Amino acid sequence: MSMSISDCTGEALAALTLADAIRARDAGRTARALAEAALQRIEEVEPTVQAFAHL
Amino acid sequence: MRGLGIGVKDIIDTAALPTTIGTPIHDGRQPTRDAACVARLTEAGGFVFGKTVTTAFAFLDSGATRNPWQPAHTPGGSSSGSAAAVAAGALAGAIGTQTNGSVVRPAAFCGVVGFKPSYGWLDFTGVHPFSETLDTLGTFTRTVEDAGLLAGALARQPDWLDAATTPSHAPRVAFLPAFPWSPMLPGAADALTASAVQLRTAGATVTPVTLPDGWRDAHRVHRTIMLYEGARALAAVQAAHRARISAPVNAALDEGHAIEEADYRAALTARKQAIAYFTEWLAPYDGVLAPPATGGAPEGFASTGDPGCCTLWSLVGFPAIALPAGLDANGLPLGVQLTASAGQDARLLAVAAWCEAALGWGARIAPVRPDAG
Repeated sequence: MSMSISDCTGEALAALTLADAIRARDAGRTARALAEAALQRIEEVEPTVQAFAHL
Repeated sequence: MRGLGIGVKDIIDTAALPTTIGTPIHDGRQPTRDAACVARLTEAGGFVFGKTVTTAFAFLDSGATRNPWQPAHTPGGSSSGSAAAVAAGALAGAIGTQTNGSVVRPAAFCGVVGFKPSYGWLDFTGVHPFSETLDTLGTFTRTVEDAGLLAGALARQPDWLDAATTPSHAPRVAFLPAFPWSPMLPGAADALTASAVQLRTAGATVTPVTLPDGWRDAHRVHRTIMLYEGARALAAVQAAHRARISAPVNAALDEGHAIEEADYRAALTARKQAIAYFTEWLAPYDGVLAPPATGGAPEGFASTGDPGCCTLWSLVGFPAIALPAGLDANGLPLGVQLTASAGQDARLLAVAAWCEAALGWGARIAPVRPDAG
């Protein structure tokens, strides 16, 4: 996927592939920012999808 | 993998989170050690973001997970949560397992890339077993590149990422449109043929094939091995908790207990013959194109769908990968399955990368909507 990795936030961060996440990390995004974006996406979708047994 | 959080199927032991194997029988079970694959993930710099829902014992009963594309439909199983979490954009990668169809089928139902490497290439130590001859770890991602990255890290095979980022030449593909024991649903066969045409138009050599007559009952060989070994792997828990195990699971385990050892040994011999036969059968090709499932994800949760399109490749332990290819009339993902012979994982990833580009699905995320039903 193509996006400006150094600029993306929130939902866009959560949508990154693993390879893009590595590029984002290399561009200065912290692992914490990536994890927070994932948590935010999980909060949105988990009530419907119920993918997690333990978080 | 440094700093990347990965979902881990809840039959894989984790020291930081419970591992409850999809059943209340194991409520509160807290391993003291990580499974080998989790240790590999940690060694590569990644971490366990959460444990993903599995069907009970990674077998028949549906769990709580819904299909992110249509919540009234199954996500497939048994690695239900791993497939759904990646499809919904909750995580970019997850780990699952396959004994019959538990990586490739849920990946297809959820519109993500599901990669089951060759049998034995990912260390199964610390994973709740069902069938030691068949159990295999696999990965869920949204791209082939990520499959090479994650599975390559777990297997300590950096060339898998190299292969996944270096698409092959236009591949020579055998096109197997169906498996005789799992007829395709209306519309799904046409969609698969359309994908084959798409690949041919992009330059692949696509050769239609049928399953050789001598192997039209291969699913029975798989079933004998799976249920014989599963019955023995779960014997103690079934004896202690029979009333808390579903009727279909008890029936299948009882069927496994009733299998004579001689029949089991004969099935193991047939498996060896199948491995030799299909290694030669695949030799003229870079891969086999086949359906990953008989159609889109079925509505409801009475079952996780027919795993039969994955059975042969699970029996022989060949690497297999599901790629998303489109949506059916109900807006549910359809895909293709690619396979190569054992140990040809890197080549399969390179072929898959070429096909991924030709099919043009991209790394889509399901538009999750609340369940209207």
